[in-house]
Amino acid sequence: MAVNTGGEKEVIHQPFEYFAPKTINEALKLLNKYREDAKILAGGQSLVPMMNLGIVSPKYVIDINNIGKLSEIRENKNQITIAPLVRHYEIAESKIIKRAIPMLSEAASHIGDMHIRHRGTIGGAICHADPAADYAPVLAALDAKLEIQSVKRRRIVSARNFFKDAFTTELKPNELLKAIHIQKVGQRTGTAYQKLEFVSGGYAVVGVAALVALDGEGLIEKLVVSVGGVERRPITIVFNGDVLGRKIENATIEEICGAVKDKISEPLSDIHADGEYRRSMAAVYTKRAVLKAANRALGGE
Amino acid sequence: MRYVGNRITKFSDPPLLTGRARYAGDITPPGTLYACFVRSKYAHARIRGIDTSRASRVPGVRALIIGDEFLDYPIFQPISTKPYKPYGAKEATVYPLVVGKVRFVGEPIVMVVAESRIAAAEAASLVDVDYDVLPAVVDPEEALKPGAPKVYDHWDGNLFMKFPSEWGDVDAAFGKAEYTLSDSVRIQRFTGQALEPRAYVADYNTIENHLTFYSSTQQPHPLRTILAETLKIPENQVRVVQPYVGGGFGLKIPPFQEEIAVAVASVKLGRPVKWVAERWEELMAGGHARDQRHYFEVAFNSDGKILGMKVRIIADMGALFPTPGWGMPLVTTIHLPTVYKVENYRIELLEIVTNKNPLNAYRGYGKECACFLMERIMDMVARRLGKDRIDIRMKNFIPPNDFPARISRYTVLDSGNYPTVLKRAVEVFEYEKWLKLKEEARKKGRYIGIGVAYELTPEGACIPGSFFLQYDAVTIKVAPTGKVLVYTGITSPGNGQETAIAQIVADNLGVSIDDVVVYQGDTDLCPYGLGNFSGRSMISGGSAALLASIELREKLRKVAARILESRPEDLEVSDGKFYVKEVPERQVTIRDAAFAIYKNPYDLAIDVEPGLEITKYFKMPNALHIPDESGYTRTYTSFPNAAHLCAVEVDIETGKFDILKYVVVDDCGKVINPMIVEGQLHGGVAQGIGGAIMEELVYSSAGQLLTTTFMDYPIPTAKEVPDMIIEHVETPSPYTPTGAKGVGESGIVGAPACLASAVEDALSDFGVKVMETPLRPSRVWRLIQEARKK
Ligand SMILES: Cc1cc2nc3c(=O)[nH]c(=O)nc-3n(C[C@H](O)[C@H](O)[C@H](O)COP(=O)(O)OP(=O)(O)OC[C@H]3O[C@@H](n4cnc5c(N)ncnc54)[C@H](O)[C@@H]3O)c2cc1C
Repeated sequence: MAVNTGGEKEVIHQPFEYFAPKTINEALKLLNKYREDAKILAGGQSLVPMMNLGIVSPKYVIDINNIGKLSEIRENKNQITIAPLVRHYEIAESKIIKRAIPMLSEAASHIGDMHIRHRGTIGGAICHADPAADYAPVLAALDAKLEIQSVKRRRIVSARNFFKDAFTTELKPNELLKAIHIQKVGQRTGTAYQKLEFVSGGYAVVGVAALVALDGEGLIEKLVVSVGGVERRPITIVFNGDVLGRKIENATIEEICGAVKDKISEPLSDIHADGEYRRSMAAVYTKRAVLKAANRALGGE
Repeated sequence: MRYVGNRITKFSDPPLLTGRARYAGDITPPGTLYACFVRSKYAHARIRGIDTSRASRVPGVRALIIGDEFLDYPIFQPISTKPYKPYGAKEATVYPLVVGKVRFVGEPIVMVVAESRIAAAEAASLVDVDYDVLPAVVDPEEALKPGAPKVYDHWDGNLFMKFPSEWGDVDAAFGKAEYTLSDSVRIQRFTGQALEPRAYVADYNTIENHLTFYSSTQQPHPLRTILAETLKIPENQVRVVQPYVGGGFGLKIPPFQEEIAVAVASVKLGRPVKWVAERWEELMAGGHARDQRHYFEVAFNSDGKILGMKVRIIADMGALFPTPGWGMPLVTTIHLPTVYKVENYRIELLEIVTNKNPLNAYRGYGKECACFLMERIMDMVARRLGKDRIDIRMKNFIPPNDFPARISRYTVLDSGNYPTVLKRAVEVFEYEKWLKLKEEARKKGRYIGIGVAYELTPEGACIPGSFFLQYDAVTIKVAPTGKVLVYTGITSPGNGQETAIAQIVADNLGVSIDDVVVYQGDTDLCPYGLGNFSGRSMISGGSAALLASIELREKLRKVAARILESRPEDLEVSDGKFYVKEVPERQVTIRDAAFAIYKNPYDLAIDVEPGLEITKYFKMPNALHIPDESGYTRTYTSFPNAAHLCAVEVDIETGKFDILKYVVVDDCGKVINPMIVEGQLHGGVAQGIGGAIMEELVYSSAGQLLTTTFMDYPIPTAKEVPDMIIEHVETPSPYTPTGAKGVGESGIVGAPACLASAVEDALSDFGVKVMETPLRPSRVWRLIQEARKK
């Protein structure tokens, strides 16, 4: 059906054809047929503003909201699987996620405002791949596995490899993100997401996800830090020998922050925050996230 | 008095809060066509040609209008630059669409009119404009250099005017002062964003040669005159209707290019034409504000007394609009040194045109720049002398017995009691307690700072030979049944003036407020008035309402006396009744007295003129446009003022700060409705916070606007706006019969200065100086880094 009702109601200036398939297969077939000319519509919180502004003008819009199977959170012993249409507020409030991966809920609760959290979906946010978005560093730190489906093929890509560039992902035009699989974090492991935003509801100037596992003595067993908002894609550091086995103390934190700063070579820069500021904030927020994650690893909040 | 002074709920609240208010954008007469504008991609370019052939093939397109077709419609200018000719003021004719060359990104070039918005927008995207791109000038100081590109070819340069304001003997003051300091203060370009964008619907009737124009405007009557003059339709054939307006802030003062274009298109096509701005159009072409640099020197003594100052103001006007934006830096200039008694100064204002969106009037209208400058100076002097920032202000205030106080060739402050207001603010804020809290926090590595600012908010602008004056009118009609209809020339862009007017009428007529209905914003119903700006609704409208109600009440009293067989002077009025003072049981309702006037003209109402309708104009008595023997005049007529105190905590790792406490003690004269006054202060402070912390319109060096959405141009949300503690001191205006001074711009004037003061105080250990806004975290962080390096 073409959306062109005349009169004044519409704000999107380019006409397009709209489909609302009921099954994944149907959606995939349409995607396969129209490819670059088509766009999936999930929560519409990024796609619709872009269409309003004329930044993208798809000829075909494939609304996947009627595909019931795409809205579940499932849990088994070791893993949580999140379907792409799960809304931000559900992730922020889900008991399962809060318990198993607190930083994912934390990240979701900081996205936009209440309305955006109730419409926007995790799948849409990931596929949109805004460099300042909140889920990317969290999923990269967790090494989440993204299940990608086309008519012919299913494949799994790690969140660490999924984000190629700003607004660019591994997805091919005929592929759909079907599920997000996340390994539950183990004992004595804490996660935290810390975000610097200038206006409440704003995108991250810097968003840092940290995962810290401590051994029985409180020494670092595992440490992953992923930084969003600072470069065109999240920067993920899996710390090795140098830091492992050490106590969480000032010198260690300084070394961790130094490593993060060193890894940032092409910081984003805009009128609100230049590159130097972003790089420095990456260090400040790494410290805050690591300390919080370590505290959680010890059972604190 | 039953209503004045009380918290009466705004009449407009239920429709506004339930979404039932009808705005211009909700009006769609049958057969409406939709307009869309093709806007300039370049800051400065000559238009070689426009090809509309592709656009014209879009189904539903009814007209593609280019600038040359509007050559017969130079926009009538409601405010003339002529009185400023002695200072070099130039003139520029503005047409509804670009003629010849574009002067800023977003200037409308082609108007598309179509059966639907979508068709208009599609066609607009298919118009091909052939530009001869010229070098753009975007920095005002660069614009003054020889060889800089000229914004207006027929001018001798980019200087619009040079305006002086001098007082006393500055050189002598500097010669004898113990101390001098110099620095500069810069306020960025930003502007207000009404939630309702501009919206216009023109409905021209070809048979009757009659134009009905619905506009999201602040001045329906002047707009009617502007339309009549520009379109050459007799003014009695033009009706302007202003429905509910979702925020004005000065930015909806007519006329806009699009406003005239929509009206002309309707006349040309003989059909209703409608246009509603999109957000990016408001940010790009809706008028900008501020953008002033102030280079100053100040001379003072060790006791803290300021002896003199020299200020050079550089104001970046952008291009020119017919709206009063170019008056904004003038208002800064003529109100320096605000509330302080500085008897020697020399100020020079340079207004300079550049290739940016023209300045437009925005709430604060230059007063916030004057405040920011003076308050930064006060803090600097206090710091230099190691004195308390409250004391330094007390030392320099114009004392209460100095009023009326002439502070410049153009300005006499009416009244005020600054020490009392500041003292009250110090108490309410608990200043001493916060000084201690600050010290304790510092020991724990936390950076709390206290901000102090005193705002002067000149209101009741009265600009010679313009539509910005202080007279206004109220018509009251009392029906035979005693119900009251009020029609005013002042308008309400959402802030409840109708309610305050009703309070005044109800009290003075002696009726219940439930029996009063107020009409505004329709030129066929209301007496000619000047709408709303410059806090004038109570100054001029409230005064007219008072005079009109008293006159009708006295007429009713005569009839009531006859009915009660008593003498008029023996009657009291309240609760809708006249009663005999000595024998209150003897009473007659206003309704019965009104009925008598309509039904008994030959007996009970024999000694009054029939009818119960009256129109009263009120004119502020203290403006002075014919210079006195010293050559002095008076432009503004009312001077509300307020003290702001706040506490902030800065996160020195990020530069982000939280507002911990915010206190405003204001003096807007007699408070008619505290709830409305406080609402104005809440909104004003919120907008002030936006300008102080986050809002900035940024142009690239080529003149491209980089901030065209709320993503790039954030405005404060409820989270960034703190709870405020608001109190009032009432120093009545000696010139308005109600004593009210106006409150429409209070709050926004002092908030940026108060926050700058607080951030500087929080970072005093580092010796940071805050001389520039917006104080976004990255800027505050950089100030800390730079100070640490020293
Ligand atoms: C005012 C505002 C503030 C915001 N603030 C933040 C913030 O602070 N942090 C943050 O992270 N985000 C923020 N966002 C973005 C928000 O998170 C969006 O919801 C999200 O980016 C897109 O999700 P969606 O479900 O709305 O997707 P849509 O807008 O429907 O789609 C986004 C893109 O993903 C594609 N897509 C969607 N689902 C799939 C799928 N299953 N498979 C393949 N492709 C798919 C679409 O085709 C489209 O290209 C904000 C948005 C707004 C409008």
